[in-house]
Amino acid sequence: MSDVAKYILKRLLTGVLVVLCVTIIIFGILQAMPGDPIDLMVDTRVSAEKVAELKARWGLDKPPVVQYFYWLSNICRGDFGTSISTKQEVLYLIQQRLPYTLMLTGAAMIIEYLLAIPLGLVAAVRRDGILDKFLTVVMVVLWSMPAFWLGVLLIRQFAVKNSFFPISGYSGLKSLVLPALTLALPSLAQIFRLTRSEVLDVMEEKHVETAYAKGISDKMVLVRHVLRNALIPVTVTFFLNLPWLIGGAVVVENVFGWPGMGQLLWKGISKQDFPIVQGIVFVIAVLTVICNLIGDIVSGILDPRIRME
Amino acid sequence: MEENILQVTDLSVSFSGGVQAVHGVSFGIRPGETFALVGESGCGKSTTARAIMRLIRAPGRITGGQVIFQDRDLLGLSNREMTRVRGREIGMIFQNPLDSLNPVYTIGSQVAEGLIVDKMEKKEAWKLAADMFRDVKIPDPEQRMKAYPHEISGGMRQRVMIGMMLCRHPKLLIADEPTTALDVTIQAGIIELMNDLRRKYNTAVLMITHDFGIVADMADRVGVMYAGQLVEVADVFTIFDEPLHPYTRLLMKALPVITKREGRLVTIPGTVPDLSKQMEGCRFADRCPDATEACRRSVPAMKEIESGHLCACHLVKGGPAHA
Repeated sequence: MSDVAKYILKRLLTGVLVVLCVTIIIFGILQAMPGDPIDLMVDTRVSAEKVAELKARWGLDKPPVVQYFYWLSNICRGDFGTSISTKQEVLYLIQQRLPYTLMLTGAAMIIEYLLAIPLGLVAAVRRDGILDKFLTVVMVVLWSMPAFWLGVLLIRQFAVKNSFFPISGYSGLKSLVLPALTLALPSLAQIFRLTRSEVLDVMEEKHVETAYAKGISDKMVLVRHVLRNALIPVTVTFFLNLPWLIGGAVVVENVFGWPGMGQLLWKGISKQDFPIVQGIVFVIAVLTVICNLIGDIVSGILDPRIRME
Repeated sequence: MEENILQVTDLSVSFSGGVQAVHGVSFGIRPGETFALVGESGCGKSTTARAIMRLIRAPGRITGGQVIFQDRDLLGLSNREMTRVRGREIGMIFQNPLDSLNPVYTIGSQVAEGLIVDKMEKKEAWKLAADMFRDVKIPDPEQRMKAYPHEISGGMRQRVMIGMMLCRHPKLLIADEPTTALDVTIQAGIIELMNDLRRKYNTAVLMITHDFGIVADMADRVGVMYAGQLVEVADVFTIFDEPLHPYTRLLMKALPVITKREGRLVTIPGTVPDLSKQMEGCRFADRCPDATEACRRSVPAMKEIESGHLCACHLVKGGPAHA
């Protein structure tokens, strides 16, 4: 097996372990809640025997460990339970909404990566120049903007005043633009700053001088030697930050009435619809683990030193 | 006498805050010859080497002089033209082989990269790189070329560097303390390798070092630097046997002699002057045991005392002033 394949397999196994831990935590939180579903379901007039019988039927008389494995096996079969408020299957609800959230975060991701890295590179090359200072100021402003406010500003400017884009909801790809920008811009600032500082750091490294001494042109040194090395920490951070992007989507989806998981989560929380909240938290946790996993794998591919350990 | 392949004239380099790291340095290197530039840390020898390659980075600046390499003043070339000189006509290897190679590329591809820049086919470049690996005595080249820098030892990495910088057969190789970061046992191998290859390809070498052992092993001629200035130039035997400049003489005394069983290490009292301060007289005057009033007042000019032996000292008499 090649180095890369071995590395990826190892990371995958770790990822599965992390997901298992997450299920334990979610289940633990549920256990820590006062009362249980049967107590909530039944009237106080129902006899104790009847309650005990119900509990036995639902497996709630078993020790928590056994209950956990029941619950886990349900989740493995895709059974997240039924929503309390809509009586619909949680899995069905999530399945309906997940593609929209992925579309939104995916678009934001692409905007972020494709803008932040070239801009960061340019700022580093023109260090302390006017462009660098200008970009830095713009990025600080973006970084400090709360997503809901930025979203409202964009809606006002490009949807209400000009009607370039729809105000809210989903009606084709055009309606993706504003929410994706709102989601991307604040975290773009972070990747921009990291790219800039990493590029400046790598420029100081000795192997860059070697590349110059070898007679490689300035442009090629910058791309092949400097940027290539700077991309390692930038890409890792990028993937580690993706969960924040997914979290940020909750807010942005509500500002733009985007029919994604974030909106569902918001409704679930406000209606105390636990199965929905639980299901979405689980999905977000899995997405987080997947993002970290991809980050690990990508950094292993980018950096031969990591593969070796 | 053959014409010099490299002629440095009156080279000066300044850093911010008015630090004159290199001040009016002049020397020449003949084809195929090894010229060693020696001096203690911070005397400007590495800066001189980088200035020749135009690798001085801001806030450093070349403030004057000429670097004539094969009838062209390198300091007058455009960046593009200079890029074509680097690696192809003048190679350079560095002090620390551990960080001198790019960690994310295989060593083979890094050696081949320079050849590919010369418009060579990828396959052919790889083949030539493999030949070079054999030349620098790395066993099993085809396999080793696929290794990453962190997978090979420091000595191996320096061999890769040497191969990388010699595979295009430059006329001049600048070696900036190539063995300082290596184990003593590895050093000898690297020096031997460099000696073999420079003879094989008839490459002139500018050797930057503070190690007189390496000077003795490699150099044909030696330039001694002190506080940014060249104070003495002579062939290697003369430097060891009949040094003229007080600084060189003290340096020779300070060399530990292993054959002697006892005795103390000799040191040169005092410290190197602060290069950010404007200096009037000889820069060595404060530490020189024989310094006179004249030494403190005016800068001694480089004079040719005997044929091929230059010295910048008021106390050494004879010879006409040298450019």
